[in-house]
Amino acid sequence: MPKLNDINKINKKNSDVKQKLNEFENAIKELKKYPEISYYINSESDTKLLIKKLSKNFFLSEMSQGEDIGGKYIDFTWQITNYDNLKNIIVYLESIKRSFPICYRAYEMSGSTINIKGRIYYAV
Amino acid sequence: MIYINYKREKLWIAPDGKTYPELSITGPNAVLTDVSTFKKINDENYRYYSKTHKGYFLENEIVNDESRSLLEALGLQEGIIVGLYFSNRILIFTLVNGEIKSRFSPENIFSPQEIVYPYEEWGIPENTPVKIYGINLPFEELFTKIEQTKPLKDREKIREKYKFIQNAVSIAFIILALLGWAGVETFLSYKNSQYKKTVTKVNNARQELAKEIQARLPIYLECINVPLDKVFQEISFMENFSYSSANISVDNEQIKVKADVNGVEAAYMLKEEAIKKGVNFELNLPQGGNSVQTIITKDFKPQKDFFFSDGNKFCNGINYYNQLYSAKVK
Repeated sequence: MPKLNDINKINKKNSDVKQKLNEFENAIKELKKYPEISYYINSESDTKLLIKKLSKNFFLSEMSQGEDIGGKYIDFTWQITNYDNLKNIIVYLESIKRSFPICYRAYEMSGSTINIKGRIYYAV
Repeated sequence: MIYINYKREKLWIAPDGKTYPELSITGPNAVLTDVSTFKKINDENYRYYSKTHKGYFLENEIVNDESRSLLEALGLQEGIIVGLYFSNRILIFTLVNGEIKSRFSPENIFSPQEIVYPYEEWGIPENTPVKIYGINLPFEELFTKIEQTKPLKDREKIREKYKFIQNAVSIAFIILALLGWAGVETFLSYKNSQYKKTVTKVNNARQELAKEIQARLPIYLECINVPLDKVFQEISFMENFSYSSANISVDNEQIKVKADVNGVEAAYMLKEEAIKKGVNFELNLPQGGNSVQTIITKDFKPQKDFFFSDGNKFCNGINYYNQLYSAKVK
């Protein structure tokens, strides 16, 4: 009974997609309860320039682009080889977060090399 | 009318008892031919038949669609002699063990007293009742009986009718199947269109979900951020020791440190410090030399700088929102 299978399949698909829509609607309703927060965001080209400018004190080893629920972003890795004043650098990096939509995703120290993986979002 | 084509004689009998060699008729009539027979079971070899509660009267020749069996109209059955008297002739029948017995006399019987019944020949008792139209029953009554008797059925016509019904049923079935198929196709098409509409709604909702997150991007960033300053706070107890090598890796869930401490004593002191901080600590004592390998793992759930009171709840939902956003709907 191929047609019966088709009906069952389409009914299942309809039921699944309706459930998914319901999940989205509930999530949106839940999110709307939190207050919106204003922030400054650069364009794509300005963001790339900014990463390079901020990298003056570090070595920019990787850069790639992606997109998630937060929007479009650039992932980067800053490499630090001289960490005599590491604490000061960390304070500096943390302070950057106040001005730009930036976050750090991982920190890796191996021998004398420190990799700081970051992500910065840009406006479309 | 009665049509007789029996024992090499062919004649018509009118309601007044007169006989005619040829007659053109319409309407009810009774037939008697040489192939007239009576059977308990239906016999497909006979084209015409009528079914009674006692069995089948079978014929192979009729006059028209209104023809009945004369034997049935006479009421042929076991234990009784039936017949008719016309034009100084007697035609009588009975049924003996399912077999029809008959006698058709020449035109030499001028009164009922001259009739000789073949009781011995037919093997029936002499007191067998007799019902003969034209003698002890009015001749006209036979014609009334003929009209009341059901016409013989034509097997060919029934077959044609059945074939027509069969064809009609087949056509109806095909039409129903086509309607069913069209119905299913319409249903599937409707369901598909419903599905596509819902998929569009889901895609719009996906964009709206992202928009809501992006309207709160700073807290979203705080949720997924690994705070570097807090990493160093967590492992600050390691600062007063010297290491020949150190590997630190941190993500948003765990800090892992693999360090070689100079000296066994220092390694144990480090362990004590680590235990005080509630850190998981492993020591691998060397086979030789002064260096001790230490492996430190610590769950890393730093306090976030939230922008509103239930920021923690917001962060707990981030993974779910991300999964929902990434789920593919085709």
